[in-house]
Amino acid sequence: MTNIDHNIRIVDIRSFFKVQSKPKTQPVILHDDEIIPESPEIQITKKKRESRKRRILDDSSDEEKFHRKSNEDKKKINSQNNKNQSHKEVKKPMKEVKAVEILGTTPVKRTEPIVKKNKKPSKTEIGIHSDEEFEKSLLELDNAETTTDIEKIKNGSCFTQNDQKLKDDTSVALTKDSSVTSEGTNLSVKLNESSESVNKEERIKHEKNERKRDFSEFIHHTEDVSAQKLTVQNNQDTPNKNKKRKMEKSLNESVLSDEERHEKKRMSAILYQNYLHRSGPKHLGSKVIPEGTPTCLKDCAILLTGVLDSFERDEIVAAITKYGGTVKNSVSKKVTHVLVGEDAGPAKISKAKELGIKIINEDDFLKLIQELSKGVSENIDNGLETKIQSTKKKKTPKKNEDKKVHKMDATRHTKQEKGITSDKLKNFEKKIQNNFYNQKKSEKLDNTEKIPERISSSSSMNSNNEDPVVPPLAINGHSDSLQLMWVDKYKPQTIKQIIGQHGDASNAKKLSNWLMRWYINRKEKIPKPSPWSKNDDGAYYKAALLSGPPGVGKTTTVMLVCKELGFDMVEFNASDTRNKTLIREQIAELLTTTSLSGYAKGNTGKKAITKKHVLVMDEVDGMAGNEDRGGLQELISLIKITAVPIICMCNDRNSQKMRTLVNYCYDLKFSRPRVDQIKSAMMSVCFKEGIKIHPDALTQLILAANQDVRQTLNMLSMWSVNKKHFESDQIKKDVDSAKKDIKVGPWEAVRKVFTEEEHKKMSLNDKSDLFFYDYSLAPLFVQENYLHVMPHCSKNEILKRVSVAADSISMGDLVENRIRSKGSWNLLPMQAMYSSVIPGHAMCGHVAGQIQFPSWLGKNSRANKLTRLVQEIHAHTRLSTSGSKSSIFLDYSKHLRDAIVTPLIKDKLDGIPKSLEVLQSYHLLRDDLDSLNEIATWPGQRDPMILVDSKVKAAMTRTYNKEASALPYAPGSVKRSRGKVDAESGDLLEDNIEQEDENSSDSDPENDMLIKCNEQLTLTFGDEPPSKTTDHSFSEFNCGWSMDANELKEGHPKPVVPQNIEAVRHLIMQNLPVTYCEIKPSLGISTTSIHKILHENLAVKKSMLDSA
Amino acid sequence: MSLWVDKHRPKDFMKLDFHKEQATRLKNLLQQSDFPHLLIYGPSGAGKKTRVMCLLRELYGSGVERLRQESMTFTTPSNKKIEIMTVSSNYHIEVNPTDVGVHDRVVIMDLVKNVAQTHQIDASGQREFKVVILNEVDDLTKDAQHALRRTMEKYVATCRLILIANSISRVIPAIRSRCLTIRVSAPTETEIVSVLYSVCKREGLSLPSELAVRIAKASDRNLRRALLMCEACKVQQYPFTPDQKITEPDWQVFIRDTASMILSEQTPKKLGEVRQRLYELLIHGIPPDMIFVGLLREIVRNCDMTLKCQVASNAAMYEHRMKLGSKPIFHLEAFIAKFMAIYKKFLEESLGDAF
Repeated sequence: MTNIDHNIRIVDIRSFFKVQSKPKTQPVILHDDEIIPESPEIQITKKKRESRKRRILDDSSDEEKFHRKSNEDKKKINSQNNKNQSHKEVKKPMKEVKAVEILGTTPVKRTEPIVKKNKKPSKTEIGIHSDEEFEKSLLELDNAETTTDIEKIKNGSCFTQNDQKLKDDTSVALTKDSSVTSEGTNLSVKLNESSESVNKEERIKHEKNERKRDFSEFIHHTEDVSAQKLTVQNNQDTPNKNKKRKMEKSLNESVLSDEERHEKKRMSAILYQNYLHRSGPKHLGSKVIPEGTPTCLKDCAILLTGVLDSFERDEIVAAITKYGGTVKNSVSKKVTHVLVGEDAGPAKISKAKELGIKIINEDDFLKLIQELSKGVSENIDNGLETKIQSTKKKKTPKKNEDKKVHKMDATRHTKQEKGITSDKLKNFEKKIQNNFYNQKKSEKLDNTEKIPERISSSSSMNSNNEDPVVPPLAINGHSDSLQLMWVDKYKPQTIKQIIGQHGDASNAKKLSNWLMRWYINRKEKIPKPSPWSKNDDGAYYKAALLSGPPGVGKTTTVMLVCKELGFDMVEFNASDTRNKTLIREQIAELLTTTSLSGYAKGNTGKKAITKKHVLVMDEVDGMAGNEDRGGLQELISLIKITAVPIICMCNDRNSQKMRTLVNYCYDLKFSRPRVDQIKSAMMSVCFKEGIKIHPDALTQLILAANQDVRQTLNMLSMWSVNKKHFESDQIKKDVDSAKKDIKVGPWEAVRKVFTEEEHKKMSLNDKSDLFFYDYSLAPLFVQENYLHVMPHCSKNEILKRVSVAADSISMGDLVENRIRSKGSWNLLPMQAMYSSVIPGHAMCGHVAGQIQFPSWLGKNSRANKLTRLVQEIHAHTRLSTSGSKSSIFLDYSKHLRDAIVTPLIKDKLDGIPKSLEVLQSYHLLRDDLDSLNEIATWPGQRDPMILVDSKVKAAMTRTYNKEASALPYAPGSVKRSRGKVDAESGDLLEDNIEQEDENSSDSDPENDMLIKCNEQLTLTFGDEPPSKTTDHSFSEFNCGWSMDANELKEGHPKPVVPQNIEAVRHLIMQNLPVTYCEIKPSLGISTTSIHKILHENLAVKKSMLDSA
Repeated sequence: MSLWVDKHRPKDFMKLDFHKEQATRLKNLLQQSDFPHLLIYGPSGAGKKTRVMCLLRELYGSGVERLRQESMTFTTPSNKKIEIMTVSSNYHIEVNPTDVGVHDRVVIMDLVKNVAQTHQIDASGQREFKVVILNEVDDLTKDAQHALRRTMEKYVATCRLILIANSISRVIPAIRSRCLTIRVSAPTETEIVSVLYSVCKREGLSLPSELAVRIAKASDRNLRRALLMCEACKVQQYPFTPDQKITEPDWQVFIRDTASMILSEQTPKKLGEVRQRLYELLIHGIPPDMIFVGLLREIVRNCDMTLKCQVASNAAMYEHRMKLGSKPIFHLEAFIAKFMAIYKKFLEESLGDAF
């Protein structure tokens, strides 16, 4: 549907400017589509009945509008002409000039070279944007003073045609038709090089072409004037001698002897030292930058050097940009002023002198602003007055003409225009395709392409500004564009228009390449590319995954690429239910069908039926929850078997949900467009909407929206409702309030906490806000990472600063404890100060190395685990020992373990009874030995259990199980007692860990003492049976989660433990005839792991085992 | 076969090796057939629990030695089920309320009430009251301690409480005043030596006096530790030699190494390494205050007098903060950072003086 909507929109906007060359039945259909796009087929039949009546209605409305418009246009043309004349300084007396006269003849014709010349400056200004839209609007902006000349001329051209027709009112229909068709063919011939043209038509076409050229030249002319102006200004300041001097200089340098060079180096080193040690402004804040008009420094390019007396460099730069000036970094011809402060760079000054650039100091600069702003404001006032006068003058004759126009003519015109629209649309679409397939051609066509677009934009302009009496019945392009949101109104219509997607390496290009070659690639067998290969064209993949932040144009890119390649989109987004069954049944079915959308568009040719689908799954990261259960898995399986390309889109490709999907997709990452890219596009929009906004303000706005194109547009459109003129200062206030809330991860936040550059921009509140991004994690992150920060201070001071930070962190802990235990959450800002702001201030510098995830969490959970183990042991041994838990930790654990293990090491099998005796006298279980071992082993120590012969161990386990003596407690229940895990139950983090612990103890089969075999499995070291623990904690930190390596993670299938391998080897070596069944109980590991050990690690052949 | 420390635990007041005067006083107290609530405190390894068991035996006869373990279930106000292991005989019940963390209040209220409200059926020949032993009272939350004070008064007729703590500084005064406080101080080194001799004699071993003294010194006046060390020595090498190596507890060695690390280099990087070691200590359940003490003891050896005072006062401050806070590592680290800063400055100054 969206597709169809699209087309219609194009029709709407351009309806008045397209030419017809086909029979008249079609336009009617199209027109109907406009009204009820949902059911085109039904509508067709209906419409045929109604068409006549409707047409009349529509016609009348169109007619009225048309008259008005034509008049306006005429007026504009006139005024334009006048202006142009004044430009050329041909001071003719003002008189009514008919458009035809001017445009028909060629009075403003320019020779070609000039046109070419014009293009150059305009290109440089455009910079990165090859996009015609931008280019055009930029050009238009340049000529803003001469108002919307171009549009007016364009309109004029339209009008003149009409005017001509009006004049020939009485002439035969044939001529009229011919004139109309001529235009259509004119375009179509140009574009498609069709051979339809008739002689007669050709003649007229020639005429038209000429006229058109005139217009374009006219445009160029105006551009030319302004451009020339600029260059002249630039040249004034920079004399042409530069080159000569440069030459001389380079010669001089080459003559320098080694000594001199050395001396020079030394000097520069000294200068650099001075530069490093130079102080800040001496009288900071003693002066105020005067208020100037926004464009007073328009023509100034200023270079700053040295330390100013009373301003920071940043302030001055801000002031310059605010007043429309530019700040340069090096001395060049373009620089108009050099603002010199104390300790200025001598090289810069000397060079500036060489080039003859004005050298000014701070006070001069302030004066400059005042003077220039005075001059400019006067100019502006004058200009405005004259403009108003001229428009007033021209309004009166227009109205009179209005009534002259015959009604019949008007109806005819509108009819024709309807025809035109449909035809134009086709041409346009073809153009796009041409464009895509052979770019060389498109370059040629650029010129022609521009024209209709300009017309459309101008028409919308007119409708916005000067169509107050549009009858509500009239449903056409004009009123429609009014209702559209800006986001839709300025939606890109071609790939080239998408911001930041016109390079060869752009994602749009990649996507279209991928899509184009999709069917071809399916026939070949292509190996899976390595994930690090750079120039992967995704040939292997059947699906593409577009990822990127919202508002950068992912969906738009897909839509346009599909449109241009002629694929039909089957789109599913978050608003559709996308669960397993639905995807399997409905979507899979959809993909095998053929599309009839060609019919719906009125195309009955062979191409109407197409099998080229593409399944677009928008917002795949939104496939979650109960609604879409199993959707992703099904999508993946669908990708595996699909016969059509699939395009998925998501915001965060690193999220947990996307993990699996990413493996099956051609990965295209969309990044945010640069500010200047968005800015130029927005400027063109602003211009079209007649909004005046300062570029600086716009930059602010874009930054506030976090370079989200959609949001920027929305904000602009919201503000434009109230006012049409934006001041930089005022917008700054608004921007602050409208700032998009950007979610900063803890990693980013902690980096900001310690980075000096960031501090400069932040107020105290901003700094404490960094803490509030996640107040439970932030203190931990700060504590973990403050030691990795290199504070920018002298070396002797580092430790002092570290201690200040540490002290503050420890205070923060006190506050946190008060918050958590007493629930006094009002202390949170205080904690923010202690735990984040003060350490950040003390260690202000740069983070050297990676930001680490707080190890406190891992350590804490490990500590809790050991405490739990100790508590168990304490409970078991309670009858025979005195002392508390801590005495187990401090004294008992090691000695108990040694008492059990030493006999096993020393006496081997004979020691078993002795160690079992100890176990029994302390009422310990077999697993308690493992716990004891874990508690008593310190890093850097060897695990004494390794020394125990595996055979002895197995034997011991066997005897233990045989003799299992009566325990004074019920073993099952003991396990359930949990340690001090919930010591801080208020703590969210703790809760998570707690839950984890709970789960592990609950699901751990060790608990169930009735399951003997499970017990057996666990009796020996290593290979813990996988418990079903799910890792609740911090799923959001999965990426970059750096876990302590020692941390024992439960719930993951354990790899084969090296000890076990060793043990198995021992068993085999000692008594070769051994079977799985024997190994299994003696080591207590599963059959599969035995198998794995034997075959993979020990490389035992099966025959060997069999023979055994 | 138990370890010596449990094997040779005296079971009678008369067999105690030290604090004999106190023992007789306690015995006399019991002969009056009634006694107030007791609060027994002292450092670990001094024999608190041993004395309590002697006391019970004196009170009820050998029946108290027939112990059984039971687990009891309680429901917290937030409907959470908690279980706690108790050790009990017919005459007494012993609990470790801190096992359930912050929910200890529920345990105290329910359990003590349960026990105290039931009268002895057969009063003849028995005492009229049961005894409830609460361990680690100083680690009880304030809530739990307050819950205790009312029950102590209310059920004084049917039960006696024996509270065991390491230090009474964290026991609220209300409880302290309701109890007869008995301090069991750590045995002196000579006392430890004599105990070691007697144990070795009973084991049939001959212990050189030098070794005994060395063990006593290394044990930090903790009798339990001394006995365990002695046994470890025996396992390592027998017959004993006077200059035999005594295995110190691993954590003490670890703390000492950490301290020498701190003294060797004062940089943020080193501090990071020290932090890892501190984490390791904390994971192994070494009480953070012991870490403070251990570190300070090692560190001040290298300091002159003024520096010593400064470091000690800082250590005290951070230890205090640690008790108030919830994450010991923060305060330990802050202390070490502070020390590093002070020490580095001190070194630089003294170096400057030297030149």
